[in-house]
Amino acid sequence: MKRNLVLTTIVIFTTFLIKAVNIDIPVLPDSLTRGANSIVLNDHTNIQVTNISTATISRIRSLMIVNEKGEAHADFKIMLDKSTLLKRFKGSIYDSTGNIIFEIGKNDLTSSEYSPYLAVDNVICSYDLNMASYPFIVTYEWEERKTGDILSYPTFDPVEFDSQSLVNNSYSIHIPQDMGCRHLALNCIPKINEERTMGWVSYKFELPHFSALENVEYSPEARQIVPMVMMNPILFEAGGVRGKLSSWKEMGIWLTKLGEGQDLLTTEQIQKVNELTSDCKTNREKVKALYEHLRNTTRYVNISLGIGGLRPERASDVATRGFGDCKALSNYMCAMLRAIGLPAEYVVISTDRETIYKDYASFGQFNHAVMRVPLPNDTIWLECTAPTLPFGYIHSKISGHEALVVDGENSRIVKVPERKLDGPEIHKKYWVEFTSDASAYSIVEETFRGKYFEAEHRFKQTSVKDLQERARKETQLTSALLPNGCYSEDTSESPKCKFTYNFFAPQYGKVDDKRIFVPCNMFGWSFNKYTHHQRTLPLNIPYKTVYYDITIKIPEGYRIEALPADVTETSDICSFIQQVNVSDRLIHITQSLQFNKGMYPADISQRFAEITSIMVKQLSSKIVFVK
Amino acid sequence: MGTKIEAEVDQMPSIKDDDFVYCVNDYCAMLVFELAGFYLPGSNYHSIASSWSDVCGNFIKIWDEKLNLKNPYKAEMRNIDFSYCKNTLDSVNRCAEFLSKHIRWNGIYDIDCKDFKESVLRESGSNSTMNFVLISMLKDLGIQCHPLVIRTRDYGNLLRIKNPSLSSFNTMIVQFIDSFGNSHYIDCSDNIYGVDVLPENMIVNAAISIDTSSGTFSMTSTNRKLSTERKKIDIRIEDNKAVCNADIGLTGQHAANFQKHYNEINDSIKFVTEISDKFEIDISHLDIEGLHPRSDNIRIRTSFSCDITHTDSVIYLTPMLIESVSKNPFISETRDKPVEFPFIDGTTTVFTIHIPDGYELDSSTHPLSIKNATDDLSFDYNVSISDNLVMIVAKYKNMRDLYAQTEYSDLRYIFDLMADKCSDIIVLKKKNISL
Repeated sequence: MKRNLVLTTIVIFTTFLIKAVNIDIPVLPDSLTRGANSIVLNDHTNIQVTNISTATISRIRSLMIVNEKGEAHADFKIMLDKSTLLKRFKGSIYDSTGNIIFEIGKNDLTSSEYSPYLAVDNVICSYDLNMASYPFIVTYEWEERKTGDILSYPTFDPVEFDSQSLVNNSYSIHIPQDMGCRHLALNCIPKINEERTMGWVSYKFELPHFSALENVEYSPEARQIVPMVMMNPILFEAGGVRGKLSSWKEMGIWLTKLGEGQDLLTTEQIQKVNELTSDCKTNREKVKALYEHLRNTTRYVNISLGIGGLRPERASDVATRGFGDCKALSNYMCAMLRAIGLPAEYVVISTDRETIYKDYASFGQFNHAVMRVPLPNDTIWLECTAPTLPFGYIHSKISGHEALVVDGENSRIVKVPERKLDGPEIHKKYWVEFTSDASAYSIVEETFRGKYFEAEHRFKQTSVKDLQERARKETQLTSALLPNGCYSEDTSESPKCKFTYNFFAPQYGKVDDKRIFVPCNMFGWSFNKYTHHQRTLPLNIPYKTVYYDITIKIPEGYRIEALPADVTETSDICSFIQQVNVSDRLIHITQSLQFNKGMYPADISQRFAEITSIMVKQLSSKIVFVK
Repeated sequence: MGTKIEAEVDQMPSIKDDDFVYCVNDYCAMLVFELAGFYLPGSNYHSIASSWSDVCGNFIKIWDEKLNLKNPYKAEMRNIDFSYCKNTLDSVNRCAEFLSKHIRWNGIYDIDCKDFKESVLRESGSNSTMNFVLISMLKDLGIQCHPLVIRTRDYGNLLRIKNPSLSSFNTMIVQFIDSFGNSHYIDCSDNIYGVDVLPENMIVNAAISIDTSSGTFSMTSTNRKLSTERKKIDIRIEDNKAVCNADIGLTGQHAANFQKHYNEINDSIKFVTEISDKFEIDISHLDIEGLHPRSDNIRIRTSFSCDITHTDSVIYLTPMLIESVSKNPFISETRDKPVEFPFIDGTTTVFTIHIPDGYELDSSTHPLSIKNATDDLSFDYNVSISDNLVMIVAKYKNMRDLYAQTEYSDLRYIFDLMADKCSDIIVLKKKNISL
């Protein structure tokens, strides 16, 4: 039977090879050409798994590049590593009538080991294709051989770019029956053909045709809309440890085995840990003391060499060297806590996806490691790669995300608690009064919470000059004179940071013989309205809350000629509330903006556009004083 | 054998990158060692760092084959229609346009051309490959031309090089002579850039022109052409909206930048939407002339309207409705590096505001004239008022692309005043109403 499979494979590829030299330009329906910068005419992947550590992946991908915007779609790029070799490669480029222009081979590919990280063993093999005229067709045929650690098979996601449509495709895998494999189809119902014979199982998937989608503002992520099939072995072996990927628990068991012995510290290191915690009265204090130690003695660097992409470095080595990646630092923190008898759990998580596929375990769904300390009634989550963040702070990249606790037979999916905010994410409060030439004196207080706290937190260690420059940028008052500038941080249960400064701005408002014109909100310039297009994609709205609290003193000898009115605009997706009060020659304006996180249907976009338009108009409105 | 050099440097200042700087290393205190030459066993001393003359000689040797390249499109060129070409510049642009249809720039700026045949076959090549092919084409037309070697701005200022070597340069463009004996330049990389218009990174004050026939060289600049932007905007007030008709002319880098941006969007509806969003206007008509490869003259005629602030009896109008220089980019109080502008340019904007019936001018904007000490940077803002018309003429001119840090405070002050002037407000009130 194995021989038959090989023959089948040869027949399939011979067919494709013949097509490669006599290419016919297919007639495509409007639905596949509309809005497409490139069209995937053919994408056929064939995976032959020989055993637990050997697989051959053959692929043919043929694209029609419709216009200049699709130029980047024509490039070839493949990631290789120690266990993945490129055995065969051929590229053929055709003009719009199907005549071959030229061919390229393996020697034409460029290899680069460049990486921004300290140590990775990936090599990017690529070919940048630039053609003078459009449309043209490019076909790449290549074969990869994987030997060693095979944790997953390539995901079949032939639509790689926005404005790309998909025509013919298939994904076949032939695998020993005792290894087994699992798949997960997303955003489509593929045609599946399964065959089992003589110890082998074969699957063939075909995705339905897919029309090009334009990348517009607030688009969902590709994995939420693009058809794909994910594929994993059930039985695998990596780093000399055999495991199963039939459930998250099994994956946790394997990760536990892989990390066995990696959390050991030397006697001296344990002694140091004991010294550091000897004066602590509570377990929480002990955890805090050790986190402080981690913060003061280590730094983050990315190391992804071979199985090191999954196995943490030895804790004792991290303690000695003082650096490590997320796995290494989290494991080291676990090791220190375990050394003094405290519970510590190593956790893998994703920084860019909140939820995981519950019934489909795979390594690709996680890209980060953190750890947690399950004290009675007080589970502390620790991010070990960002030591400037407050102790126990759950940052926005993991807040509310599902994660896998790696704890042998007790491995399980948990959810990181949602970070709670005790106020709006951005809160700006200022008081302003004017001289007769519309120069202004102002006292400002800007408070940031949540993800904005994380972004502004970098100012903790900057000079007063940098703080002043930041204030000028924020207020757009380039000639403002700032005698001071202060950054402070509250690292309590709900951390926030605050900028406080005074300024004198010679050109705050405009003045003529009779009037003074001043902005209603000097921070109001920073918002853009959403423009309503003929939208078909849902709106993927991130959470955002902003509150402005503005007090403006009416200049002596002037009265109000024009003033913004109260506004209340609310909807499921967002809201804007403006309140304006005048009393005792003071104008008090509050503006509250809220964007509610969620995926909203496309038909709500018009209302969203209306509200953001009103929002922008009100934020940039002017107040006019007249003599 | 050799020389030992010991250097001790005290109080080296730190430096960080900044806006309006193309290569921060140009301003970094440093001690640079360059290889002067080398001995190989059994051979004579081989000099590397030498004079500009030697470097140019070396370029001629390296390029020997490429400069005698046979025009690969000799036959096809017979079909090029040169009939509408009024002068040498048009003919060169036509050739470059023809070339861009046969070889596409691969995104690489280079100084040599190693893969000429491959590039022709694969329809793809570096800018230098395309430029060498262009030289062969221009020679066939009898146009005198030669390479102009450049150190791009992000690579560093050529004038700071003390020990010239081949590596002082990283790309080349084509210099040619028109029928009046004037020299011009062109680069084939991106087909939005025509004669005397270059990608920002190639606009340099020092480049070396290598006359390969005589073996001589001369220092020149690629920053000689003034790019202009002229706007004429007619504003009427209708139904509490400013209804505007604008006629805009762009030349040089302004035309190229506009075209580049337009091409990136590549969709006229999206383009209109983007402009509408940016300036908070509703565009009812847009007509763009001159949108073709290597165009040096773009004319935009547009009609648009926008909301204005008003009360029952008063209208507040900001005339610089679509003025893009509304913010001072120089935020820092002080600066420790010079300021580099992308190119020299001049902008003239004429606003004509029609006072609506039943209204009168209650307060207007005032003239302003300001320039720097060396007269390179100036802003003139004049206002004239007749019966029912307010006319504003704003002229901005910047004739220099490099300002020393000692000039920074003047620069910042001028831009502050300009930005402030751009937000001036005109007030119109209903007649016979006292405010």
